[in-house]
Amino acid sequence: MKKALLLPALIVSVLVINSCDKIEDPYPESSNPQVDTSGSNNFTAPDLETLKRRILIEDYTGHTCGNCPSAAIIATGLKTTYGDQVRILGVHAGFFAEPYGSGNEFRTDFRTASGEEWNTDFGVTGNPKGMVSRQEYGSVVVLDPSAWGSAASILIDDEPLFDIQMEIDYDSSNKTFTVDVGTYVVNNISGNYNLVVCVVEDSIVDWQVDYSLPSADQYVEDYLHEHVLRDNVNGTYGSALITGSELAETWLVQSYNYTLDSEWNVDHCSVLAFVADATTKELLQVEDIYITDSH
Amino acid sequence: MKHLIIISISFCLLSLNSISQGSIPAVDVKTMDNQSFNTGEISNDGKPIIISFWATWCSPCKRELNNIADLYDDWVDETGVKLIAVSIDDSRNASKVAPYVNGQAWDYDVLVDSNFDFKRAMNVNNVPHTFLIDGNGKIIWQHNSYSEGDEYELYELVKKVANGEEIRH
Amino acid sequence: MKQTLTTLTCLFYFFLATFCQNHNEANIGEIHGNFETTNQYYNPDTAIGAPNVPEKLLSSSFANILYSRGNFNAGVRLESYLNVLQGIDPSYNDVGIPYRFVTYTMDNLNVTAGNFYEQFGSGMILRSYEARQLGIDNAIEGTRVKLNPIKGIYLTGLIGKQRLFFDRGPGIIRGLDGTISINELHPRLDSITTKISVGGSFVSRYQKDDDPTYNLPENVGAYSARLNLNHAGFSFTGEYAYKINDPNSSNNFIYKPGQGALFSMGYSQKGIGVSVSGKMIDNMDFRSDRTATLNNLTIGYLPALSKQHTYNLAATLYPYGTQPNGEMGIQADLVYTIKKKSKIGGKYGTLISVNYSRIQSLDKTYYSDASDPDSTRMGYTTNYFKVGDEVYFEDFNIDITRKLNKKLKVKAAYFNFIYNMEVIQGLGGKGTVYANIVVLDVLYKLQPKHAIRVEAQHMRTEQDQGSWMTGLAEYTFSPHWFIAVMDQYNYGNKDEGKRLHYPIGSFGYTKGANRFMISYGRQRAGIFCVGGVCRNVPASNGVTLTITSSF
Repeated sequence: MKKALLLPALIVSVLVINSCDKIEDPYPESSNPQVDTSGSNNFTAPDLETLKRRILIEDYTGHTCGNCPSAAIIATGLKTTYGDQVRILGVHAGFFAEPYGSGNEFRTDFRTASGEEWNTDFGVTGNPKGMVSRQEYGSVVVLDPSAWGSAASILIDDEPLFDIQMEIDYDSSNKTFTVDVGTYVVNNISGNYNLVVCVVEDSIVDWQVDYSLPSADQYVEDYLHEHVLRDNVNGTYGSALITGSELAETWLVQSYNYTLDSEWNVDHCSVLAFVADATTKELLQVEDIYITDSH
Repeated sequence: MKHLIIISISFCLLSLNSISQGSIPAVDVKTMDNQSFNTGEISNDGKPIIISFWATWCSPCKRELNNIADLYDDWVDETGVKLIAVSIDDSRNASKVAPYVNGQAWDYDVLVDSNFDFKRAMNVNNVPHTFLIDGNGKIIWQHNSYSEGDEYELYELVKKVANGEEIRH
Repeated sequence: MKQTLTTLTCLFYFFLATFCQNHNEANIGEIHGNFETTNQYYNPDTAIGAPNVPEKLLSSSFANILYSRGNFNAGVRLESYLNVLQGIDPSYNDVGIPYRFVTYTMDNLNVTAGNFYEQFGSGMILRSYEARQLGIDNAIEGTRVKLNPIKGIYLTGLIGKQRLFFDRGPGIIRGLDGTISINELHPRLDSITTKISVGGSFVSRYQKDDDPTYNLPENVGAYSARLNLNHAGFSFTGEYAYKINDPNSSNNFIYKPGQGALFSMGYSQKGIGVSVSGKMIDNMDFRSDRTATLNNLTIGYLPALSKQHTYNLAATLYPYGTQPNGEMGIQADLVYTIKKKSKIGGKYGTLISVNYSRIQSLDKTYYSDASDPDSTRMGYTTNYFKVGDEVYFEDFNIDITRKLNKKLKVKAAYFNFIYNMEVIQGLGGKGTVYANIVVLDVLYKLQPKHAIRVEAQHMRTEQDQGSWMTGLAEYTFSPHWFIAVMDQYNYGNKDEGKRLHYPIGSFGYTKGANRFMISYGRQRAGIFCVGGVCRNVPASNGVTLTITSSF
């Protein structure tokens, strides 16, 4: 028995030694740094009577996922039900978002580094799946689309802890915008919170598999992809907003410059920002703003 | 403090690991003709008992039981041993147990443990897993997996038990 | 003070250990358990599409400890998934004690508190069980009472919540089951050769309705009735189940009730065994959470009515999975031994095994918008047991085993599959796969304790990934050692770049109830779909170490 243990012990020790990552660059590639706009605060305090908690429905999808179009319909249905309280984000990540095959179809890669990281960190296995403000419902955070309505109905009457307002300035000559994201703290609050800012594009026409259609028509060439996450402006989990505590009625402003990719249609693009608990990742407030006036 | 407790518990468990003395747990299973049977009633008048867990989808299990089947008559004549083959086929395959057992003309006692209750109580992880029980109803030997020729080692132990000898694992 | 406490604790455990060794008397009790750990180290391998695994080493382990003393039993299971192996749901990534129970038996009553497994009848409306290697564990956490008022009548009642990873699902399950074994009722009935038993069960799930779009039923109940008949070599089992309206994510939130029927008839006597079974399933997906998918929180178990194969190409490429929303199936199985010393049978006899199964869709007439606008959401109607047109799966297989002489044993098998990949894996555009497989399995005993087994398998198909070949050689040295090499080769793939070899070598050592195995090589990728949700299990390349032990 002892001799038999020698070989595996050797193998295990070799593996343990190899399971080490030697790091060359201690500092990660810097995410888009904040722009210093100290002094420029054009935001006015919100009306607390009408201020509501807005929720974010994150739809994890992919263009070869045939059951995903029906999930997109559920998300838009909830937007109709709850109106302005709902924002939707379509995250293309995982196996069904990979470019597929060798022909001309399904070649577009809608995946983003942050989307893939969220996909792995939250354990999204299989599509369609999603999250509602990244909060737990029925013991899980990653929910089947049929549970999004129920999860939303629980959160929709919550007292809002924050408000978010945004102002945006777009320079079409170099496709760059400057966005001021103002977060209003409603009550005295303690804890660590991050602000995440992303760029989202609507109405992208491209291939999608749709199993709700008869078999001959399931490969749809001109499907309208909405709310597609294009990039994170300030990193996967954003930048620190509150560390420790903050007083009520405070405005916290962060500003960012960002240059859009030449392929994106600026009139369909918007900036989405949300405040999340730094530890639990739960979203407490969300807002978006279109970059240009014509959309 | 914590370390000492962990060490003592591990010592306790390790020392238990070297022996498999235990009685057969009493669990409700079914016979091949769907009558209920409690494993606490397994007995063989003080003679050795072999309990072997198998399934119709487990090739090594079937090889083990078929190889023993060729020798079973001699084993029974010499030692009076009884082999109880416990099938862990669930409702997908349970209907195939009787056709297979009779198709192979086995003389064993066959029990069907469809929801793995007896398997869990006997701490079986994978099949084939075979146990040897002595005349006092104590489990004194067990073996996991099967290689051609294992039945000879098993029979040596059966003979020792039948003669009332002690077995050191 | 602390030191004394430590010393006392140590002494206590030491004595416990000593007592456990020398005394097996009821006043101390017995402790037994088992342990298994699977560890895999992954190498990235772009040729087969194996992704980079950031943790490099993935490890799953569990340890069960059972304590029994007279009528009292208790147990704990510690599980550790740090992190879980590829292909299993990463929601398991954690370590903890998800399973613990205490059970006490007295006379005709058995009470369990904590986590337990249970099956009512064939399991159609309630089966909680574990299949750890598949990542299935839907144990119920709650209370269970089993009553045996008079010999022949068995009653079970339970209430609890089901396991979901290291937590519990939201739904509450209540179940009641009764079985009357008529022959056990009276000693005179026991001697009759005909054995009859009847049974019935009722299971109900409560889950709160928060949905803004629908009025969902909070209490969903299911009933089932069963009958078992045995007479000499003849046996019959039948079960019927009915579930009231249960809109869930699997059936697209329709309010149609569900039905299921299973039956199985068999005849066997020495040398021959025959069985025929049939099944009808209509909208029987029943879970603790109406929005759960894949393997999570299933309450009932709908068995696949096809033979569970053991050979690699037959079992792992195109396995059938029950379609809970509607299917009809039939299976026939024959096992026959040609007598030894007969002309055809040879010196040792020959075993022939033939099996056929076919599963088709259920004939459904969907409501058009005009006859059933959204107001009732019944989805479709079925005409009881009318078979639909679509073939989901067909499997014809035959195998012959023959011992040629004291050293040589040969088995030859043939399989023919029709596999509707589109429906079973939920992937549109994949069509149906038609495959033929032949297997030759030869066992040669070099010496009484040394044996070598060689397998050659060949699968021919024009669809999906094309044809495959598998070769396996295994050398065993009783009673402790084995070594094996296997290679799967996708020689027939239409994409030349994918005509790859998947070699894997394994080596193992077994002593008593302890087994340990190391394997190294490549494993194929697969897509795993249940209902409308698909999951990708990536290919992998690496070393796996498995240790199993029982004590």
